[in-house]
Amino acid sequence: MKLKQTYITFNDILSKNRIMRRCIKVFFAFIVIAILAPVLANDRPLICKYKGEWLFPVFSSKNLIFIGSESINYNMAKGWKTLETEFSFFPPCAYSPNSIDADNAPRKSPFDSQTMTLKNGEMKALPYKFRHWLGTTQNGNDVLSCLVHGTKISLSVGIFSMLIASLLGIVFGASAGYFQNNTLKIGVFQIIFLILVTFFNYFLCFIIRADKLSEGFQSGGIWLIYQVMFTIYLVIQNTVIFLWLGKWIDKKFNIDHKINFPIDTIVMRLIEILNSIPTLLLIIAMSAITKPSFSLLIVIIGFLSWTGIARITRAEYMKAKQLDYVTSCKAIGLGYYRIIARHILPNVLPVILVQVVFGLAGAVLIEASLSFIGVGVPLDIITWGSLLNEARDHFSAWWLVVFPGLCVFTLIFVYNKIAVEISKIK
Amino acid sequence: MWRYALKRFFWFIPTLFAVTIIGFVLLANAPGDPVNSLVLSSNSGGSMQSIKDLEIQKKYWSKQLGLDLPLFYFSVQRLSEPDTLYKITDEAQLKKLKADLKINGGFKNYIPKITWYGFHNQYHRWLFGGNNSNGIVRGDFGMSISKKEPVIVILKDKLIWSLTFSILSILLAYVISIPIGIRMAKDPESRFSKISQFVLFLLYSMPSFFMGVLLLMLFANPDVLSVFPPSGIKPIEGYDDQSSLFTKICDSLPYMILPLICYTYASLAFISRLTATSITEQLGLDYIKTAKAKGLSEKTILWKHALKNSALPLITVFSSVFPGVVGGSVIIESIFTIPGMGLETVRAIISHDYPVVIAVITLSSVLTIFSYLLADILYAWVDPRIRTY
Repeated sequence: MKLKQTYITFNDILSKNRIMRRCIKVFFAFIVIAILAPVLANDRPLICKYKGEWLFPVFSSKNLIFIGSESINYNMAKGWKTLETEFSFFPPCAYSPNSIDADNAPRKSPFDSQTMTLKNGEMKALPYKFRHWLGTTQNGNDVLSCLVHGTKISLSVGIFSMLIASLLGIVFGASAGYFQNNTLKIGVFQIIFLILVTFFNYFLCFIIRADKLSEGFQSGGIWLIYQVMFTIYLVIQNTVIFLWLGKWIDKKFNIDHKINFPIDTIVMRLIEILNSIPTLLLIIAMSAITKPSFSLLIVIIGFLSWTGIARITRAEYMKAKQLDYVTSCKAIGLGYYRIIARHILPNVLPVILVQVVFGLAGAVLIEASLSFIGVGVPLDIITWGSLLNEARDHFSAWWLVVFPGLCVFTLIFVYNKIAVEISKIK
Repeated sequence: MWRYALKRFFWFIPTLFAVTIIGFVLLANAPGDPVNSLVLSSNSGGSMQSIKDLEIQKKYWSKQLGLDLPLFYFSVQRLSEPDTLYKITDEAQLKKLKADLKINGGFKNYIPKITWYGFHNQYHRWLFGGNNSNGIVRGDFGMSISKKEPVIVILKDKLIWSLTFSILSILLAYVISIPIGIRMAKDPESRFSKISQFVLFLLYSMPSFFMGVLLLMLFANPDVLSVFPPSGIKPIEGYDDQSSLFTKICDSLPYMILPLICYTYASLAFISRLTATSITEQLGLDYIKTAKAKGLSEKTILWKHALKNSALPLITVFSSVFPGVVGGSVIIESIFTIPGMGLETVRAIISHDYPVVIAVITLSSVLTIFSYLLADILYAWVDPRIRTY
């Protein structure tokens, strides 16, 4: 007998639903914009010909080159626009997010007449290829360029934090839902070793590796993520070794007595504790203690928002446990790891995915809100939220409200819509 | 019923402890030395003082603040470190000492040691009180560093504003969205339910800060429409001393409308959708058929019979809406400059006033836990079957 496929594939979801397809397209458009941001908005030209030599300044990692007797500084922001090249082709938005156009500051609307100063001091109307299509900010940053580069931050905060969250949520939720309170039996020595390893892990994280971790929190970036990941790896490794040791001793001395490990209660308590702390406030407080950075933000959001995913996963595993295919898996004699990861997980993944996508929207919202109040994020990087913040004191600058706001709204809307559409298919 | 409530309350005690531990860990790790800032501020007007005097003062203040106590009931340390290391309160000195100990420690550096300190420690003092502190159980969150006032005095007024807004907005959300939900459930294919579903979904995806700034831009902007005042919560000149509570409320009303919209709109979609689905579920059941057969009007069936039985999920929503409102208050209060806890948090962060920040976190976590507790008890009150658990 040929069994009917019970789980939904991604293609099934896409082929049936028009709204969903559109939302996915918009989402991919955001991703493409984020990846191509340096090419789409940059104050260096993509290609230019200067004194008979072809240059590709966007793709160059050099800072200074020499052409004949003249040296060209690649980091000159406005210089490229006034450089007398024979041929130049600029990106669609000819500004970097941090380049300041003093001629068009403060706050030029998209419809205002925009000017530029030539090398000889002459004022000229800004040509269309250098125009600020969405206006400028207080300091003269180009809004469009900030939006394009802000996409990268908004997307990556959501996606990476949800990677952490879904990993934690699925592991905790699956083990709580599958084992519940009365299935997971652990030997006496295993319990003793588990308590020991908890202390040892605490010692490892907060004493031995404390210097490295605090260094990571101070510097932020990849270094922080590396340190956190390495610590987590060490913790998992220790736990596995100790548990294995406990099991070995149990076997060696023939101790048959097993103790119930109430993993469901433990996980649910943990969820309750984490849920009762307001995420936004905790991030704000953390940022007061350490140097704010986006990688820290990703780690905190990831470690706080797995609870929703874990709840859903737990409920789904509790349901799936009763079904026939799990019983037959057990009857064949498959191990619990195989049943949990290989058999139940693909069946419940769409339901978990809904929660993950909602979580993406939540993470984007948190990042944008923090940038908006200017707390908990590095202030030198302009994001969607911080653009909106500039409009708070100047309501006449409508372009600073509408465009960044629409960007945040669109991304959150797309995420929510995708989540709702996935949840409708069952 | 009371037994159930009491049981739930005891279940929540470990959670409360865990939340306070998180708050305390944050407080203990806050940068800067509170003793230093106290000594410097008390000396600011005085004459030149000898170094020895300063030392004595520092010792005095660290004793006053309980900083010479061990941090927690027990500690996990390296074997090479002595267990009285906590007595050194000077951070630079401690760092140097630790580095020295580490160099001479050898293999002892990598062996953990657990020391039990007993109840005479900083956490216990912070929580239950002790020398010179009443503890947070009696509402003593310490002194604000920047305002030189007890934190609880600062937060008291702020808490009232924040709670007023959150409770009003939750009530408002229920009042608006339950009728919408019922109407959507009555005829899911009608134009009304389709349109309202779409609009509510749009609102749900709208970030609150975008909504806030848009509202301000449209309705509190002299260039467009200047209907509402842009910021604050009461007239700039303050209330009249003689005026009654009612006139005070009337004075504040125009200031409250825009923030209330901002607080409320996001939860509308959630609640009305939930009402609609749970009532639709109920409408298929037998007792509704019986009610129809009895000849009851549709209104009575929907509002009395179906709504009562679908109240359970609506109560659950309360416990998930409340934390959102507490967290969201940081944003909305700083947009509309409402003198609540959220705005105070932002101010405290900017002026590095850690006791205030920690107090806000602990207070709002505890409030959230109590909202869960309330939801649990309401649940049992509405559905007696739950009490048997």
